[in-house]
Amino acid sequence: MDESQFEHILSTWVLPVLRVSTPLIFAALGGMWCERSGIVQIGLEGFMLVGAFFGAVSTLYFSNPYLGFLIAGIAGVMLSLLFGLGVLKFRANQIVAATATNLFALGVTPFFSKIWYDSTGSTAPIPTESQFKVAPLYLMGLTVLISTILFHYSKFGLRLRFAGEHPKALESAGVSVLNKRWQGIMISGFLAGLAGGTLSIYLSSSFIRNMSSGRGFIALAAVILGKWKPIPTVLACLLFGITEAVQIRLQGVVLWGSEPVPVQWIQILPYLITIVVLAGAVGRSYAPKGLGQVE
Amino acid sequence: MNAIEFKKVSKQFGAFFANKDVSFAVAKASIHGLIGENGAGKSTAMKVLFGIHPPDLGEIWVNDQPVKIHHPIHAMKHKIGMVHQHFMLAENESVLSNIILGQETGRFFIDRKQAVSELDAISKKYELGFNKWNVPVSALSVGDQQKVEIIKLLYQKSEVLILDEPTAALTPQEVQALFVNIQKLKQEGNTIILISHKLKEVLKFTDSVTVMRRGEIVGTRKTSETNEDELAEMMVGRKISFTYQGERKVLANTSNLKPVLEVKNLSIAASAMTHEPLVDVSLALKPNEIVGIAGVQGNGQTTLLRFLSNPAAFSRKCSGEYQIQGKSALRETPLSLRHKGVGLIPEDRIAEGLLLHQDMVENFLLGQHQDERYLKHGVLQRGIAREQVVKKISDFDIRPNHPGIWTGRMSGGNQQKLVIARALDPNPKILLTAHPTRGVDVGAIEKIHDSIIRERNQGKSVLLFSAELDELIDLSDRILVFFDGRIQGEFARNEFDAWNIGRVMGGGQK
Repeated sequence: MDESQFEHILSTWVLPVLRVSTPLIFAALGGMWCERSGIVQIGLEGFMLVGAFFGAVSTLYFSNPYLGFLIAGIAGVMLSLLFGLGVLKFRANQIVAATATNLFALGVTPFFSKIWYDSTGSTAPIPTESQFKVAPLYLMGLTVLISTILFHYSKFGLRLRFAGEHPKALESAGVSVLNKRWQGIMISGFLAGLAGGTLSIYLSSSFIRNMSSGRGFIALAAVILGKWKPIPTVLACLLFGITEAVQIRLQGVVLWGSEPVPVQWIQILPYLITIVVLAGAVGRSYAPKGLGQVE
Repeated sequence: MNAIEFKKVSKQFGAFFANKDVSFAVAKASIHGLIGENGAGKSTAMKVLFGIHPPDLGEIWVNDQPVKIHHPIHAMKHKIGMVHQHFMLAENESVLSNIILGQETGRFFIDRKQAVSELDAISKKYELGFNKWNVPVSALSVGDQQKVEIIKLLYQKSEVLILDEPTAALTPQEVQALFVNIQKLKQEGNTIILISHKLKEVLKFTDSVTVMRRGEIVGTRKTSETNEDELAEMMVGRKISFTYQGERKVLANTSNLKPVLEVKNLSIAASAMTHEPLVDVSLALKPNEIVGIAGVQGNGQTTLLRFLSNPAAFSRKCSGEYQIQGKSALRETPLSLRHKGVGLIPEDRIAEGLLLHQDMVENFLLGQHQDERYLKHGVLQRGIAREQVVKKISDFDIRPNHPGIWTGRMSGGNQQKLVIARALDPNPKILLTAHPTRGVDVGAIEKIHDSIIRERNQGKSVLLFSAELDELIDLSDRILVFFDGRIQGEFARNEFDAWNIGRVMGGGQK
């Protein structure tokens, strides 16, 4: 294989897959940390949306994608604090609280876009010079590396894992379960916020209404498929990333006959594969033992 | 010197005194038994000591100094540690992680090498012969898991070790090994508080014993100066007999009676429904006999009981035969089995036997809702059921004696008596009984054993699942020992011997 062929494969297959997997990987790692601390996290979708929105807004304002990206993460943390308050302080049902979080994010983003840009649902386009080129890919790689090391080898990782696996054991070892769960929730908020940031300032050039379109749930599916472990979770994200890249490539392509396959059918692909893979993956349950349990 | 001393400790929940003026002392480097019935206040006393419930009144002294313990962290600071009855171990994590949790070696990252060398040192010092630090806890036997719990306390530098019912799930051999280890701990200067309801163990392995009843201390004795009868009387407040004293009727010739319940070559693979497979199990239950099912928990007994009481649920997952009164019972449901004269006392009365937020009458009618005696034109007659419950309350001495009380408000023993009364109410020919006296007061155990033997003497058949070897030996006509999903050995009544049965429970040959 000569160099140009290699570059061709890299640019037509490897890079697109990595690009579309980026938000999934950020969000899934966030989801993994949170679920490992014992909190069911179906609110990734909402964190992603506010991350995407405030990431786009601040990139426009500061003309600096890095600052915008950071603010996307912070926006995710803010919303996750609200979720944590409901779940940990007021002991709301985790599923219900996360659903409320998602609906809140879905509603609050067009509300502000109306005020700031007089457009229900989208921000102004981000000028090309303020957009990311490849930086989120490197940041993603760094996040995977740090997550894996922290998860397996640090005191923090061990204690957080026990908060989800056997909270009583952690408590009787003199460590606060509540703190670990707050930390898990905030990590999920930050990483899912970054995931949203990649959507609006890396993969496209503005925020549009509901732009996460279920990626938060696909990320959660990747956590489950990855058995709540960092590297397998990332691999599961790449699998879903491949289906999405294929989906994008297949749009408008004539597969058989003279007409291209209707785009709606092609767009079903990632969701369909998510369902099939999850249905096939359900055998033994690998979920943290204390997941969703409140004293 | 006293390692621990309670001085007039009281702990009140509402108007109820869980501990009242509790005073006792535990000498340093001794093994001290703490015994009493369920609800006698042993657990509360230990929770006070461990900082889970701070005392309302009174003082706790550690090493002859008054201390304040308001949180488990304070208890750890005073080098007090506890092995809970239900282990505090995460099954999917390694032994090492479980032990070092909270006091990890290393600054930010865990220094596993350092941890392993510290643990090896502990294992060597106390001659525990354990070094499986890197395997997941789920791969260990119950006995080894307990060892891990003890090592965890030693790693945390505990000097006072509270063991809560440590022998509940162990074979006699494992019990022996445990107490050898406890002796080592004592020789190294540690103090052990042993919470137990097994008087024999307490008598065999402790230096002194404190007895509690109804939240108060009855007395403390030197173990060498007391005996089983005295301790039992202190615990219950009256005289108690331990082995079944009543008549054990022997039928002249049972060998040619036809079995009422028969299982042939039953195999059930592990699946989502059960983690304990069964391999080629055959057994027959005849009239007028009690067949005991022994085995360490997790060797297939639970699967067998679930299958026998609900074969339809296993219809596509099992091979082999199941007959009741000579007819195939493979398609029967729990309800249809009841109509065929099978009574069930389930393993876990709270999860499978009772609705805790319903009264005794409702609970009594569970599964009997199609019984003609309680129906009139297809409508349940609660009044009739209530009269029957009132009768059972006096027959079985159920307390409190009011049928309208929620079963969740009753003690374990009284809940169990209700479950048994219900199972016997339709006069079943076959009784499937699991752990009939688990968590039941000594006084109630007698009554429950009485009623089981009475059924047998009346020509009924009883299959008795139990984790208490003494109970099986007292009641059974035969004992089948399960190991790894098979029947590893069968013992006739004249061959009963706890040590031998224990060996077979651990996988040995008879």
